[in-house]
Amino acid sequence: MIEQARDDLLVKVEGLRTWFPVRGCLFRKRYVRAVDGVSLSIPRGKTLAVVGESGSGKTTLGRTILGLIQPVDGKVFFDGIDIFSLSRRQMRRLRRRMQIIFQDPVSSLNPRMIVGSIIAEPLKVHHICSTRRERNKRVAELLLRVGLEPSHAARYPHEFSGGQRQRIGIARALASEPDFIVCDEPVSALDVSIQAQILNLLKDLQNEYNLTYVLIAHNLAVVEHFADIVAVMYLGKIVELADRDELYSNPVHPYTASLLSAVPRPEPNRKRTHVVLTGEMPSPINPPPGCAFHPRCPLTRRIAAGLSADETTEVISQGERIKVMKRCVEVSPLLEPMVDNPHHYHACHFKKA
Amino acid sequence: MEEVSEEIVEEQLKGKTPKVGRSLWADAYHRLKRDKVAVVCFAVIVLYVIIAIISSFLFPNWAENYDYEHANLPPSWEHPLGTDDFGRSVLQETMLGARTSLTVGVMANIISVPLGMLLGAIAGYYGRFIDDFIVWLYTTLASVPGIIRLIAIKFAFQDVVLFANTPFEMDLGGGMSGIYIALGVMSWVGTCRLVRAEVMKIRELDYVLAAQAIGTRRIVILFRHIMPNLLHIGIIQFSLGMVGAITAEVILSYLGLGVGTGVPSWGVMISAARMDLVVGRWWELSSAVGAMFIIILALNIFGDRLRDALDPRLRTA
Repeated sequence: MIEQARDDLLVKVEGLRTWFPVRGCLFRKRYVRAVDGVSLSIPRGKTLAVVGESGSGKTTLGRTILGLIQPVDGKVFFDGIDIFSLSRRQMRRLRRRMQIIFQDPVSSLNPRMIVGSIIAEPLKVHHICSTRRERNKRVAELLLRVGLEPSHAARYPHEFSGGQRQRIGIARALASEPDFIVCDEPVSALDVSIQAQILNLLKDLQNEYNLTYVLIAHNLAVVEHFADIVAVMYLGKIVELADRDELYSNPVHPYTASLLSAVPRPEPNRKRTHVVLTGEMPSPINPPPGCAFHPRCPLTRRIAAGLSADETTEVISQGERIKVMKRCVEVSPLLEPMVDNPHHYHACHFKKA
Repeated sequence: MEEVSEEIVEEQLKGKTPKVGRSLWADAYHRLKRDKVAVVCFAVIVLYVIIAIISSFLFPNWAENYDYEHANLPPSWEHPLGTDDFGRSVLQETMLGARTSLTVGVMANIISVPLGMLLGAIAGYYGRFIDDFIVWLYTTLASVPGIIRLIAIKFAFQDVVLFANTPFEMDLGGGMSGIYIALGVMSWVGTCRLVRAEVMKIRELDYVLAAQAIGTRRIVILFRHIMPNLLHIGIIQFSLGMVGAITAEVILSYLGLGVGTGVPSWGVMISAARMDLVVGRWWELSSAVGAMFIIILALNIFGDRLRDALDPRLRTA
């Protein structure tokens, strides 16, 4: 299914780097490397899930793809158009086709505007409905489509619950009939019972309008039934990228494996091996050399444990001296396809045996 | 997408929806209405406004009503608050003084609050060198003590008459207009600072980003999405700024830099009465001070209550 779609790409990202300047020492500019060399492509009508801990750069990646943040390097092609080469005017016109859904349903809706005008804004900006009457009708249709009542148009955002507000945000994103929507943790702020409803709604909308999604999530549980392709991010880089089934059944990167082991399974008899990561993600201002994951990586420790000193080196992680492989500290691994599966990419020096 | 029946749309167009939403403004109004202290303070302010409006019709010739036979009389039934050195009624003077004070207070803030909000919003939203320039402007202004700024600008206004020989003639040197323009041009700094900080906060919120993602122009985002969320700051600043402007007018008039002679003002009254107290003539001073005390107290409390009612952080989501 994905095989056929692979050639029909809607979004293509090449070597994207988004760095934010921070105040450093005198004369030396320092940067937060939120996104640091990401390349990926999304087939039309499919969902790419971006997974990673907080601070891994998923949100920045999503916003850079939409052109809301300027990258320092790299290109984003939307339907073949290099979006950073467009003028402001052309970019505004293109925005009709790409939208975003936010994590926080409270701050994503202007508290001083009624729901009707919030949803009607894209219609006005892109001159979609010429008369007020048409616009109201369209707003009513959108509200019904996302599971709300047309009469809700006259109310203010603070009169709704979190799940309802998220539906309003979805209606706003749908208003301009986009091809592509970045869903930035659309259910993270919601109750578990509401999460499924919103995800189902997003799925239905995808089937109905042939939408292409980027779904940003911080755990693999949400992604499992939704994504076609999964990208795992760590410290601004993609460490593993594969079709969903492949990634779930055969995780190669030790970081992916640890994220997967954190997914709760309703199978009490199954033996579980928890890979608990120690410590927190290092600062993206000053990432560790080589493979950024090496201070927390269980794999490199395991391999290094039985080897002599010329292949290993000692680093300090969380105030503790650990023995890791020299290669992990010295060489930054590239995102490369696996030998037996060219669509499964990973960035680790040591493939799982 | 399923079709929507015409009736629903019809209903919506007419606004006959079962339940119409309540805006944050309506919410704040309801909260304020329940607050008895705020209502009392508001009533006092309204009373002063009424007095200010009717007094100039009731006593148009007060300044020329010299009556040296009845000078310096203590309060009596005939003269409820006594008379001044020239035998003019102190009650009338106090009431006319309210007109001066409120005019200066309102006009100064009509100039300063929008100015501060606009500059603050532009500085906070566009950032970079525009921000640097506006911040430089207000820090420079703020580095000179307020009263010295006002004295300096009053001197600069001497003999300046705007729109001469038109119905809008403004004598900046001697009249009331000089004071409120000076105050207005000088007192936008506080509002500007507050608004700038608030805009920098709002600009990062998701709904602004959403508007950007939709393709809304920056200027439209500023006026449609950011400004309405700042309006409450403007209203609060206006009500509290009244207090500052009224006090400033009194101080300037006391120093002889305010409204010209012949214009009734609480500051002029206090200035004229400062020698009277030693000989036991307390009524002119106390009338002016009392009148000022009550309106300033009312404005201050009302401003505070207004802030409580409008503050979105107090809203239960």
